[in-house]
Amino acid sequence: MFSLNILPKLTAQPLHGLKRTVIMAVFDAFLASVPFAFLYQIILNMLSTTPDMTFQFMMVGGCAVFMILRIFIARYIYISINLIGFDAGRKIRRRLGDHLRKMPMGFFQETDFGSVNNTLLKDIDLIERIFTHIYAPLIATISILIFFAIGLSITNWRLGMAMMSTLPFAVMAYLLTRQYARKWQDRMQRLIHGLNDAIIEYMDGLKILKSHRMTGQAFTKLDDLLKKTRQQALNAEKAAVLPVYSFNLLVESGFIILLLAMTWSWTGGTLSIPQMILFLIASLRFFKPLLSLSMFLAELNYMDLAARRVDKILHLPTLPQGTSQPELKDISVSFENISFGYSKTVLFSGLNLTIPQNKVTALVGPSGAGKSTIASLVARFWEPQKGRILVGTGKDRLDISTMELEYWLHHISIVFQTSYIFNDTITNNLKVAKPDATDTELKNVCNQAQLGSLIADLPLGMDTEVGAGGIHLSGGEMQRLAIARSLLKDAPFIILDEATASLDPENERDIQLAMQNLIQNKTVLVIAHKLTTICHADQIIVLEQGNIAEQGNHEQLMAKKGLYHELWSLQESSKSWSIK
Amino acid sequence: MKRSTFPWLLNIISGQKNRLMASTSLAVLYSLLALVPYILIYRMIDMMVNDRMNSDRDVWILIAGAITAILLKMGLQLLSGLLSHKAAFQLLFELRRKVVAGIGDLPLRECNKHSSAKIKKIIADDIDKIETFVAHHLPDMAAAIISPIGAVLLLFYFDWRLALASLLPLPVAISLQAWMFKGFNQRVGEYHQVVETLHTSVVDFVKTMPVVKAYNITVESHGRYADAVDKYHQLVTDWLMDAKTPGALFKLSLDLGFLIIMPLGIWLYAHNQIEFASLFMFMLLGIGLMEPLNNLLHFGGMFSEMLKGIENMRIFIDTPPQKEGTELQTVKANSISFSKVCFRHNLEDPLVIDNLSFIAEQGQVTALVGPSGAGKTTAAQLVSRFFDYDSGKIEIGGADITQMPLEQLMDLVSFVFQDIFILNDTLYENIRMGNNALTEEDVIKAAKSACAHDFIMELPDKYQSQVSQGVLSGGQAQRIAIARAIAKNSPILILDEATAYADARNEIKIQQAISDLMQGRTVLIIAHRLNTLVDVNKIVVIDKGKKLAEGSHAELLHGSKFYQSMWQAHQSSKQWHIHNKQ
Repeated sequence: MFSLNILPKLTAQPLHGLKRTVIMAVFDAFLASVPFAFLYQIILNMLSTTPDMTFQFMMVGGCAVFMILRIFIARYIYISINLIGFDAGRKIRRRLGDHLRKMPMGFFQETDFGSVNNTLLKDIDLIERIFTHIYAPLIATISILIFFAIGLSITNWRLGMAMMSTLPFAVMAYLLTRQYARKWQDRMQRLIHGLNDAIIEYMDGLKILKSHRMTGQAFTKLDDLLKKTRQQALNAEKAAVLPVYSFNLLVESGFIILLLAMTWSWTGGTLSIPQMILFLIASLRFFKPLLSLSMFLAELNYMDLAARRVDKILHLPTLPQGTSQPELKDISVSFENISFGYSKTVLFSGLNLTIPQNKVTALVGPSGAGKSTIASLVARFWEPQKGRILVGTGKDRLDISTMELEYWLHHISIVFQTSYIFNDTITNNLKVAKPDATDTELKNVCNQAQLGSLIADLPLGMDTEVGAGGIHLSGGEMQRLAIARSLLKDAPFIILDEATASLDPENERDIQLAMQNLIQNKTVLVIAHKLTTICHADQIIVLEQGNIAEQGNHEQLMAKKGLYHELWSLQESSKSWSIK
Repeated sequence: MKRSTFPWLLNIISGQKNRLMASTSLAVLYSLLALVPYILIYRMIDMMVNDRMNSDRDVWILIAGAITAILLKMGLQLLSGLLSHKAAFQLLFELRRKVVAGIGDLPLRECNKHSSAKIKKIIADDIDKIETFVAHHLPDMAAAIISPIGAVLLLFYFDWRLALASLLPLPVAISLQAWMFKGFNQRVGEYHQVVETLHTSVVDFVKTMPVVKAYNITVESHGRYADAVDKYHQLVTDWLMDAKTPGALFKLSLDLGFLIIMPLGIWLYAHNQIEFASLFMFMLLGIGLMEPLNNLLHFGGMFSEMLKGIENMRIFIDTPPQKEGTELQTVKANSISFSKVCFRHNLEDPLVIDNLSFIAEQGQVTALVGPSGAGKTTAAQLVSRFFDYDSGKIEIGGADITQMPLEQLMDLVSFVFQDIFILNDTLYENIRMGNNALTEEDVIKAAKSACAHDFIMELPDKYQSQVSQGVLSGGQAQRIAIARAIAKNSPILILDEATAYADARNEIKIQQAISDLMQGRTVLIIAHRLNTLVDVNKIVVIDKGKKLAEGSHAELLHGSKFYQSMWQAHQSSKQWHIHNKQ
């Protein structure tokens, strides 16, 4: 079964002590089985013509020794199996986190957050929990069954066979119905993911939903999903218990067959009373673990499904990357015949462009023209479908995908429109860029990012927590913090979304100054919206629907009277608009 | 844990009383029925050992009885489970609906205290745990209690001395359990906290992926995620280490019965104090007597965990919904007046709105300006009652907004927020926003006025195109939001001027759309760019929640130094040119 060796597969490392624990569990089962042989001797002795109390006490004493031994073994198994499980859970969590980091951004756009989060949280939790709870008992149970089957068959093989006669059918029924149960479980899982997404949507859109009186049942999508969940849950539950129930039914039928066989043998005179008593007592011990076995198998099934989901993500291809870390003397970037599109649509086909070193290159064009995509390709958030992205000039040009990803990203700083600030202290938010930065360095970049006076006003200064649970930063302050982080990184190639500055118009000037400090003497790629800001750029690339419409500096482009000229005039006229 | 959590749960469950009673009664019945085969087998052994068997028929009758009891037991078990599950899923549905509705009725201030991830956990996971309790534990618990009690009573009937002896492991098991669960409540509290941190950091981790990539943040240095994973690992390991010895002892204490019953039984039997058949019953029933207790222990843990989860969701059901008036108020004019309004987010916080008074006249455009964080947005949100002010008064046409039913207020006022939220639905529904009274024509007309019709018609599925957050460009999303407000057609409009910069073509269209939207309405605008305000009727300048000045652009430029300096900063930012060499 997939599940039993799933953990080492998911952790990609052997689990220390697992083998020893398994052996101990089998040994424990053996120790638990032997006392029944002693019990049989006691019963035989009691019902014989010469009962001997001393012998009977000795037998009980033997049982006691076994039991004391089991205390130590049980303790050992209890600790080691849990430690193995917890450790594996931690390793899987880390491994999955690391793997996700190497996925192209496309993965996060095409997969919904809910299901990734669910796998990182619930699925791993499930694997950890089920493993620690059932792994050892499962092995012990199976071993006890085997020891009992052997022992009882030696005593009376006919009854032994009768007792176990339904077992193969039970297993078969279980396996047959499991497919059906799985189908329902998958369906239910999808429903729950949908429900999770709808809840998040409800929470995130609460403000607008409130103002349109669409809360509660009026948000029909969520309400419908709740209704559907109620309706489907019962069916799914029925499907889920079907394997367990049919297994149990057939197992209990085994007990019924044993009773019938016993009566038969008794009336036929081939069964002694002590044997009958032994079988009655032992069958109780035999069937009970069997019944719990079906529960174990059901749980194992859940674990299996969860493990498959984790495994699926772990096997999704990561962004291809090389291992080389060449010294980059020239950071010019050129696109050579690049074709790229998101999912099904084609955006670029055969795009060529060059971003020269130490110059400012501006990308302009209507929204959807591909400005941000070019920046994302440079940062290797995505992989081009065709063509190469090269760094350097002349003969020394290198395909960036042959380099180690981290090494390449080390050369790039990006100022996004959305600034990603962690719920942590200002210091820690900055140190992401340079873990060993000194206090002076931190202070310097904050000043350059126009954050100096803000930090000076905070009682805890740089150690102030920001974000949820900390102080609230305005949009512009968060952007300047992100810029400070880029300043600290001091990468030679800067990707800048100019619109970032306009997101906090009241403080636009401060953000502009911060950006200005960031790009000094760097190679700059600007995604531009306001044409006035980039009219001094060394190179302006005008994009329309994935094609380069025009290229040149401001004067050249204005003279062409093409798209750039049109956009420029539109902007001039919208500038004079006022609210009336 | 609050003591009142459990009664609260019972109260919730009482809606499904009948099904649950039936299910529990069936559980009691089948656990008693499970004892019947033992009694019949006892009779059989008794007859066999003492040679009181008249014919083989006697044996067959007893066995047939035992088999019938087993089959009946299985049938009842199935029925009990079916009933309890039906009840559970209905309960889950009702609870989830209540929480969802409760969240909608709370003032926004309350909701903002909780992250979406946390609320998702409550609605999806915490409530789900109630299913386990109601559908599985309730009947199982009844069975786990009844079957040992039934068995003990039966054993006392056979022999009181051995029966007492077989009870001895019970106090041992209980004390071991107490040992294991020392500090359990505190642990569960910690556990929930750690799990919540893990949740938040996972959501954070996935959401911040772009920066994680850009800064080469490995799992090791992505502190919060790695920390949360380690903390969780530490907690469960500590817990395990504390419970290891009692845990192992507890498992074996269940078998302790054997060591107590056997010596006493052997002695009694040797001295002819007990029949063999009775002793056999003790071997059969007495030894595993305490095993159901193992289940109870399991229930105990799950139960506490569930109560903690319930505690989380109670806030949303028990917090009284936002107060609103019950009677329609007479609104004499479509004007908004603030008089001496004060507001703070929390008692200990400074005032965000400080004694603010102004009037937005009917049919006129009034703009709120000020540095970021001055309280402009908060002031506007007070009108929408996302927050309720602490003192003063806000009136619409002379009627106090807190005296109005929320329905009336929402009909009077429509909003265009800065952070536009696009529902995961069709564009059509995104404009209609649940208002079934709007016809298709209304929707298209609104989209046309908002300059959204053209781009919608270019999409393959037109108005039926599925969209979600992030699918539309900023400018497109803005026009959808404007179309929403036009379709809603309220006399008063509160407009947060968009800060995101749309491209030149979009910008012109948005400007047209806004001009159209404002036609004939009372407009309160939260303005970020001063150059658009030169023609508005009134500008209210705010800083730190206080009104500094009001008047037209020309008046303020002469009369207010504060406004003057804002104007100058704005002018200089417009002159910015990017260059990488100083």
